[in-house]
Amino acid sequence: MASKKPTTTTRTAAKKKPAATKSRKSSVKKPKKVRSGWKGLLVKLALIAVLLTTGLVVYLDAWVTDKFEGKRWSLPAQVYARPLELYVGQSLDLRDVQAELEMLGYRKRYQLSKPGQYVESGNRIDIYTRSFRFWDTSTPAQRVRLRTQNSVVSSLTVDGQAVGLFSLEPLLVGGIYPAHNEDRLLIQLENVPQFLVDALVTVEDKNFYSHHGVSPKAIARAMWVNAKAGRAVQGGSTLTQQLVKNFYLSSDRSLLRKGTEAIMSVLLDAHYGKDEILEAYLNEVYLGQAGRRAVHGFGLGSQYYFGRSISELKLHQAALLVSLVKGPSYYNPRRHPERARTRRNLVLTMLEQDGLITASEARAAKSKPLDVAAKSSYSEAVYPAYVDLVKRQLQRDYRPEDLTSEGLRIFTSLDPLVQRDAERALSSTATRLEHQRGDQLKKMQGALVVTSTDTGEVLALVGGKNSKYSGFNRALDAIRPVGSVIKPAVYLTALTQPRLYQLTTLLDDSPITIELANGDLWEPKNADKKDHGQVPLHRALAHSYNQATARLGMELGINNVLQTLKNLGVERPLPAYPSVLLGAVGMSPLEVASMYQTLAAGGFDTPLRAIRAVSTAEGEPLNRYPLQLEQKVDPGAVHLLHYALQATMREGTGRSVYASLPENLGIAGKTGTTDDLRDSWFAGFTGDRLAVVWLGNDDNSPVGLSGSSGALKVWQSLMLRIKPQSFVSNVPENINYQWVDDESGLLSGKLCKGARQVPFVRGSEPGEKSRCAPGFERVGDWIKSWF
Amino acid sequence: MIRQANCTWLLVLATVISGCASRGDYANVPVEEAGSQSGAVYESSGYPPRSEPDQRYPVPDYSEPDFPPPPSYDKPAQAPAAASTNSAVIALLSASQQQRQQGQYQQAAATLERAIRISPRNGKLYYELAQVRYLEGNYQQSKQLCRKAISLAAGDKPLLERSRLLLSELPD
Repeated sequence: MASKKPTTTTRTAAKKKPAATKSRKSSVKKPKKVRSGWKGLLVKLALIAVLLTTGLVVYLDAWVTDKFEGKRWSLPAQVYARPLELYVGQSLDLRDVQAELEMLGYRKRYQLSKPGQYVESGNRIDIYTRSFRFWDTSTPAQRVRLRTQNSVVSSLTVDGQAVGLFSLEPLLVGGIYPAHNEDRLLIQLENVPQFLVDALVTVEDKNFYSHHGVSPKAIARAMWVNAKAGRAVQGGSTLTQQLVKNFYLSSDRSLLRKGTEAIMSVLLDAHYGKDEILEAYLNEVYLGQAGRRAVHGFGLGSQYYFGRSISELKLHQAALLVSLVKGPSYYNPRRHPERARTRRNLVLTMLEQDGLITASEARAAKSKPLDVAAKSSYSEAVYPAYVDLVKRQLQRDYRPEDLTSEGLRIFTSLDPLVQRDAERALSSTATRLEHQRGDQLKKMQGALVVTSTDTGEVLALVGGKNSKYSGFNRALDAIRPVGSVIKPAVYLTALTQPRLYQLTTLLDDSPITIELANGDLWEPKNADKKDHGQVPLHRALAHSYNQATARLGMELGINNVLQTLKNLGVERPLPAYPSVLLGAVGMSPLEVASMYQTLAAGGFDTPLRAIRAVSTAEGEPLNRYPLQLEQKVDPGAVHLLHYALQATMREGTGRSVYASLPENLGIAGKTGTTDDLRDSWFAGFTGDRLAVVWLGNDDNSPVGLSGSSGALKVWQSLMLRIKPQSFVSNVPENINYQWVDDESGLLSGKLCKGARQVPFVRGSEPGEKSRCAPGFERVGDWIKSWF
Repeated sequence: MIRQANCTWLLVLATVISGCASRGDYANVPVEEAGSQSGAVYESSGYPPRSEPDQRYPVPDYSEPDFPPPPSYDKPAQAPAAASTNSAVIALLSASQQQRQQGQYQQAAATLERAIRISPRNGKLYYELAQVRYLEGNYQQSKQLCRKAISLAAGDKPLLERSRLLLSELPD
């Protein structure tokens, strides 16, 4: 139809012109005719009426064809999650595959017979996939067999052939809607089951295939029935008229509109084939309300009520959808199952009476339950926080009207499984904390950002405790003081000057007083209110000592620390106050994630991305959002910082994480707590996943949780669920590991008591050797316990 | 870009691609080869059954500050760079090379990114992407990707040398 568009416009223009000439002619004729008296006047009036009607018809005709052949509907952009990749050698829990398939609306069966089904048996899953058009390629419907051994994919075949990898279709996670919130999924008639078409025609317009847009017989019958009943019980509208009414006209019930509707219906019928009209009808019709979204068309209706595509519908489901045409809210199967059932069975009876289905088919379909998906798999805004991020990133490149009308397909990196785990981690930890600490935690809120460590793709975003509620998106908009989460920037600033600072450099943790520009005194204290004297740099960070950090930061210069933050990807301008060194500065969880991303990726800054690609509705690629890197910090310095951030988790403020996470899982991270326990932060990463958690109250009152007693628990719960890979920091070439004495920071030996192996930037190793006290036995025992 | 790759084809490719395959049999490949040899298993950090008592914190020795931390967080025993030469990555790598040779740079880049998602610490993939960006004339990204490849090369001499060579050819 789109190809017809140019011809349409010319035709419309051509038709409009004669109309204009005609009316000009009539105005010329007018003066001559006035003299002919009454008769002439009547003739004249009749002529005017004819001309006006002709004009109206011509005008309506142009309207009918113009709108029908143009872009008929504005289509909201469709937002897709990442496709689940399956490949041999992948660590994979088959339950996750099953969960993904369920989200996609696949049905569990004992045998595969058509697309959209799967069979699960022990460590094997067979999937009959649906065809899908990605932004760069299409996959047909195929039979995929997946086997795992010890939670690792051991074989993968597609239609019997062994393959290396396969992408499932991605989950549709939402849309970007125009103001009127009309949503639809366009379908083509050829994909609609015949019994659905039969049912629609039988119930709504029996003579659809024979009439010319209006059906005088039906109108007469309706009038007769209505007159007998004394009120309007039956409508005589054909499908064509219903389409005209909904597609072109407003819903006012004036007689004039009825007349217009009739003329337009005849015109529509004259111009277009029955199938074309029917297809438009199937896409136009209103079928229900999903929150603020209006569900239009059988394509979306099928998804909304049954969680499956229209071609997969069964007879009893098609009959139910057709029932809804009469009154989507009155017959709402979720709210009024009995009404819906009665109406559905009536539809089935009508089909049987017309001989379109057999009596036994009708009986079988009538005995079926309503079969409506319990929770709509296409329900409104299941991922509001993530779709919000997608929208904001899209607004850089697209106009709002393009996003709500062009039916763009947006392919994102959202991982619905990680999202599910992130939501559960937050809500279950919140519940547990509330249980332990009482009702003061009831109003606690939280946010979570999960990204892929090296690529910077945002995998999940939780904007609040009730993640289905599309309100305040705390992951993006809660700008809260970050506390010690900022400290790695201070230490990194030091470690990029390896001649001056090494991990073993002793820092002074004695009390410190700094006079501020306004004459006030700033006297930061340690959380435990103790002074720790001389402490190695790595330990000052691991235990988050405020006094040592403030002193170090002042020594380095606040502006240098701010520059490091900038290098790490913090774009927000930060004030050059001493208290910034201890995180008295607000950032959003996403900003913190962006900062830690650079640390996790070895000093390479990668903009956090939610979108992979955008294509047109037809699948034409528009935009790709490729991986972009920029090395901002020396990898050697970052490697040293990784050591200290891992020490934080092994020995410092984050060590409670190993209460439930396996010991051999490498983790680097940092806790953050603000004054009076108002904000609880944790930012940390493993080999493949980075997550930032914030907990606090929206009104900024104390929540009573430190970073390690609050946010870290959420992080821990998340990681237990997603089972990340171990973090192993790459050793850049300029790094040399040495055994040093932990107390003095001097060179030591592997078997010496108190020795630990510490990385140094080459050339910055300590020169002196410490006295080596033998500690052979204990070290030996200790190592044994590890292997 | 391919969504699936034939395994027999992989078998051939696996042996062709330099540095990727040390074994010919990819039909039943375990998760990772290079990593498991060295003990520094990167691709799959095993999650031992939770019931093992020694998995619980605190490990007594651990809290004592004068004891060295465990090797896994200390000096990384072996670089995980080449750990992820699984068949999917090999398939994508070779597909991207074909696309590159046919001048389909966008597709080649997309294929490589898909591989990077599967194996984000595989320096070779970043080097390949650096080559694609170089051919596209995107020298800035090419340079950054070379640096990323170098930072992940750890011990992979050929990769290190090739990345350095490309880096040296890039204009400032």
